[in-house]
Amino acid sequence: MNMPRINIRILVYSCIFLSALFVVLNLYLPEHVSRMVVLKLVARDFYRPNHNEFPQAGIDGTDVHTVWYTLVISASLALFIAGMITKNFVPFRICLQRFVVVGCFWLVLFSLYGQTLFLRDICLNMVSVPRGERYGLIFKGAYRYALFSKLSLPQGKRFNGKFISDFDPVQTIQPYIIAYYLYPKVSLFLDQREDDCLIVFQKINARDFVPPGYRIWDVLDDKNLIAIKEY
Amino acid sequence: MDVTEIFSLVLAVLFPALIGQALILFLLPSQRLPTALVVSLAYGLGLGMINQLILFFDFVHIPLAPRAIFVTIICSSGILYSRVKYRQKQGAVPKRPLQLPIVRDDIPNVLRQPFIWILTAYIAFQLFYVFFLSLNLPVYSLDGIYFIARKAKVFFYDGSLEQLKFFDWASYPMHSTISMLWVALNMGEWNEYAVKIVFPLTFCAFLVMSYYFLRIHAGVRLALTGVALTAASNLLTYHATIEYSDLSLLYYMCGALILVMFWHRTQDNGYLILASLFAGLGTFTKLEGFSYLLILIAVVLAVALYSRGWSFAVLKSFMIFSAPAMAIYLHFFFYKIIKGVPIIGRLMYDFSAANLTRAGAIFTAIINELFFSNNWNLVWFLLIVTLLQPHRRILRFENLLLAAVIVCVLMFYTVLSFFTSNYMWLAGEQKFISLSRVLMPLYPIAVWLIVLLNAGADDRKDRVF
Repeated sequence: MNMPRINIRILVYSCIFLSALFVVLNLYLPEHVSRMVVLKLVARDFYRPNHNEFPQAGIDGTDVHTVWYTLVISASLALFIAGMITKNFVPFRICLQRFVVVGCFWLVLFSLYGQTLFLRDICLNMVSVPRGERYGLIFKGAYRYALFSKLSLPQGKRFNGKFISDFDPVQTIQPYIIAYYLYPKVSLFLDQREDDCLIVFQKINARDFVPPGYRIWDVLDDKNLIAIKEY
Repeated sequence: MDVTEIFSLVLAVLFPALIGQALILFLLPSQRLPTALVVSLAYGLGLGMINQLILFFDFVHIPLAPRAIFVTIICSSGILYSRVKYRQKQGAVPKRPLQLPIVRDDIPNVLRQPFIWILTAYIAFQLFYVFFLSLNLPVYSLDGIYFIARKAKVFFYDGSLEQLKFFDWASYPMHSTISMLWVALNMGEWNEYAVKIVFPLTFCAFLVMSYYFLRIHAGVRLALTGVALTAASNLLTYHATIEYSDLSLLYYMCGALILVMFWHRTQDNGYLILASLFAGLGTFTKLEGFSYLLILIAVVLAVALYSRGWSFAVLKSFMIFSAPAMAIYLHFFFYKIIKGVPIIGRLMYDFSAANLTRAGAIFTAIINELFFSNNWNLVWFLLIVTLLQPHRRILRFENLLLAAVIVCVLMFYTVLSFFTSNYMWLAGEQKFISLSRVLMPLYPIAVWLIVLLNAGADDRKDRVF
């Protein structure tokens, strides 16, 4: 097959890059530690999904990107010097460009590995579970409480709830998980209508915080209960 | 999901594409564009327009019934289509439609290249990844639960947007919220999984749009490389699976930039109006959308000055671009005033000289973010290395324009960090919350610049790819 030049180039540069990576790993790591295991761990660490940013991953305490830049620059320098010695001159910027592309390619492979691991985790832990139960796996306690409230409160009636908890609603998402899941049965953190339901969640001695005029409707445990207004 | 639900979901996606396509056909009757590009533009345009329609319905107290929305969409699409047909019959539209000039590849039989197949397989995997994750995980992201999806759920069950003013972040634009509401209205129920379909579709539409933009300027091989590099961003692909607005902002703002570039190539004002609609809809995705709109106005002025010199045409282009975008921005602005919703977020200015001591922290944060985070692969470093190429390529107008947009956006966030309370989120203690996300719309522009610089490389050995 007529292989395009670019593929051979990537292959050759990848080999040089990989060799450089293993030289670096040899310098960093003790002999008994498997290099492949370390690379796998880094690849796993490299892909940790987060909605704000993907946290930096490291090799033996050094950030992956720092290692990568070191490799790219040193491999480019080596190629540049080799070109000068063999009188096959390649400008340094060209060497640099080629090794950055190879560096990108290896990081793409790292991400792919991380993505497949993440997909595998999702398949094992989520997709095998019925859709209705997946919230329970993600939100655990808050969802358990919301489900309990939803099932306990009388059917066909909507409430305006007041949230009572040891959690600070500004500092944590837990109250909003409950608010999200309980709507439309209970409206929390919304309109200014008079409250007719108390959502007491993760409050030590929950019963003591039910004011007069409210009746405890159902109790999940001593920290979690629902109370509704008596008319 | 049963058959009825799947059918409703398909309708929820097809209706925006229908009205979007009608609008594109109406604005660009003489342009023959690739179908996939039209669909990718039409989806976002139509969805944005439906959002504006829903907002308007609530504004004039029309209940949020899907039937009323359907009728409006079908009628307006019908009117637009028939108007185009009428103009064609009258001979107002040229018989041989104009076409964007497309760069032909220098490699014969491009589809026989293994490199092309590897890139295509990689892009296909990324698409599978985003669709699989978003349709198998319920609404679970922080902002989704806190306000984006919660607002949509409340509006869906209330049948109106009446409770908007009681939410935290009530002033926040609602593109993602109303898009999810639109899907739920179509399905007749709040389905935690199906409402997320808009996010992977936006990602998919964006990749198609990017591909054609690059294809037009650089050929198939480089275009696919650019799309693969875009999809190689960890943060971008992950955002296509969760209920955040950053991806939508990226779609609309980069879409507007692409359309301005098309306008520059063809001088067809239809592209400018489309770009304006995209930029306007971008202001409805996130608060910083308005800043991007101002940057895009500057881009349009630069393009107009470059192609027409100092003349009345520059002012005309400015008006054509600003008017529709500002109309969309003001629509939500007046909605908030009339409905008693706070107009802007919690932004506090402080112009004291003492803030200049923030310089170190701000530049360190930006450098760390661009070059040392796991979000962007090595693309920003690749861009710097690519810029080391001979100057005549960099000095091409389109490349300069893309570089100027990147610089303007970085400057905007730098100034914002210096003189506002946003310093905390951009370069202070909480920078991990916002900085990566606000710089996300710059990422595809950096990729495009890399590709365009390589497309201009005269000597093959000068090419990165």
